Amino acid sequence: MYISGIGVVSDKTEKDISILKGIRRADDFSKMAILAAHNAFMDSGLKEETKVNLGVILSTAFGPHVTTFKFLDDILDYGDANVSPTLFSHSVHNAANSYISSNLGIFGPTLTLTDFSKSFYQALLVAQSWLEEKRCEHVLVGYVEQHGKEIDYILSNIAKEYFLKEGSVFFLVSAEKCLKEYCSINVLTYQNEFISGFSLAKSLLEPKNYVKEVK
Amino acid sequence: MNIAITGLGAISACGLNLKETITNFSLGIRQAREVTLFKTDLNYPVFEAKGFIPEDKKYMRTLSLAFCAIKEAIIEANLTDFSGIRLGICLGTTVASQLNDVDFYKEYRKNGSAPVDAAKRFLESNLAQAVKDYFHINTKFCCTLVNACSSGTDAIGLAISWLRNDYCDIAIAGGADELNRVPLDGFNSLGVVSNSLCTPFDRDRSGLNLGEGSGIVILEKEESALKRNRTLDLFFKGYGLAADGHHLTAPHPEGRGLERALDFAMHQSDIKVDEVAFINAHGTATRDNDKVEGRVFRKVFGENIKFVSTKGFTGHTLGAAGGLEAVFTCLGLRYGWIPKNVGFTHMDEQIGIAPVGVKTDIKGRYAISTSLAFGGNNSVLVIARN
Repeated sequence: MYISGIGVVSDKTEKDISILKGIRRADDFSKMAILAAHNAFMDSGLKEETKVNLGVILSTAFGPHVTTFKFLDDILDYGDANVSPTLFSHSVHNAANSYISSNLGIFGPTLTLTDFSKSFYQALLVAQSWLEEKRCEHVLVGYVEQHGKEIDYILSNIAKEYFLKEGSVFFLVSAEKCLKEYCSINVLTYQNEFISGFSLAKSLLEPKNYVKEVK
Repeated sequence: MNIAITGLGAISACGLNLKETITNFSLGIRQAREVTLFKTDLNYPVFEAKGFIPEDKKYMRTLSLAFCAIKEAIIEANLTDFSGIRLGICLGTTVASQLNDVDFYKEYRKNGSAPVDAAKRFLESNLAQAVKDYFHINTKFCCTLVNACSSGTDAIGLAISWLRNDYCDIAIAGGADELNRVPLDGFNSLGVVSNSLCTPFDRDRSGLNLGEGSGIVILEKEESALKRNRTLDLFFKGYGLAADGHHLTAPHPEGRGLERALDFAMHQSDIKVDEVAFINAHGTATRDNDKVEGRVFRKVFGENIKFVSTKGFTGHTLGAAGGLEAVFTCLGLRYGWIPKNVGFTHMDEQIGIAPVGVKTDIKGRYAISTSLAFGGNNSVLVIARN
């Protein structure tokens, strides 16, 4: 499959305010996801009508845990019967994907998956699978992670070494070559299962690593 | 390529195995009660897997439920030795994906520190990964889907894709979820939980009841199943998946995504609407879901389509629902009958069609299972009997 668009959101990224206007209630996890997905689609130069059957696959290790802990605050502070429905709906892993489809006008297949070490790799596998069976011609496949003090405390007490930053990266992958072609990638032959979305994005965005096939 | 179903496993409040489930379906027995698994201020009927004893408390309850259903499925599939098999694991969940241990967080919030045992257990509870470790399976096709209430259906759908694309020969697929305080509070906050036993598709329905369980299918390429001398009676034919692109918590009023998902699944299966013997509906008993889903059924399949929601027997088991209902759809085709839609009394004129009111014999080779998820995701499986 071919990577024909890339969108990255980190703390240094200039935010596209026009997109954020429609998602004021969304939490930061969802906002990062939407921005990166939007940027990847725009980067690809594909036509708007492509979105009708555009797939979206979002991967994450920990999901919107910051919102989950806020929801737990509600339970502890106000009791079971008085929690916020908004916090609950945003604490669900696939809320971000729902925001992507509803705000970007995407009606194709959408999937959210989680794995603590290789969720992005699994997401690429799903994308490749969808393209091979012609479920769709293009897929936005991304990885989103958020930083928070609770998860920082947990990981620092469990893992000897850990690295958790926040941000979001999306690739628009296609079955055929498109207007823009960063590289082709065959996930089944990719040897390093522990690839992260960010390292792949960084690799691709540096001209010296502008490869035709990632193996 | 034909994808055979060579093993089934189910655990829910309707039964701790397939045999108990079939008996309770046949007799129309439903076993809801007050919450006993955790403390809560909420007083709603729920569908706990009564009598289920997790084998080891080191695992999240969700994992234990999954292990139980998988064991039943792999026994039917005669798949006790995984060596030398190209196997995939694709499972859906919601609760096992979230770090929502209230006790841990309460102490952490109070003291700025807390024992991380619960968090450690969470980090060891990625569902597909935990199944891979528990059963000592060597595979890189190991995926946990968190697509809310369609997670189990989507896990089966993705596993079908893996087999058709020749990534593996056999796959363990389905979903699992435990009854948990956090989603109970959350669904209550959304105003969709019923004070009484749920009544899917009924005119006077007042919301869902939560449940728990696990539903598992063993999927296998036909050639692999024949090599292993398995009796082939059930097959997956198609899988459709489409987003509403509409709203975070409400389905599209015209069921736009569901119709697209149905269309894709039927097209992939190469069957016509009049060949569908019955539908196992998502049927949560919420006002919106049942109205949208029922109206799409009427539009696509006509007024005489037979359909049932089994959530009156199991409650809404979230990430397990798609797996359980795929198994129930298989049972309907295998045994030639579907249970009555328990709780249904009055037809809703806004829907215009009614689910089966009694245990009903079915004829025909094809059946459909639908899942409509939080977030506007719609998933459809088409299953066939030989």
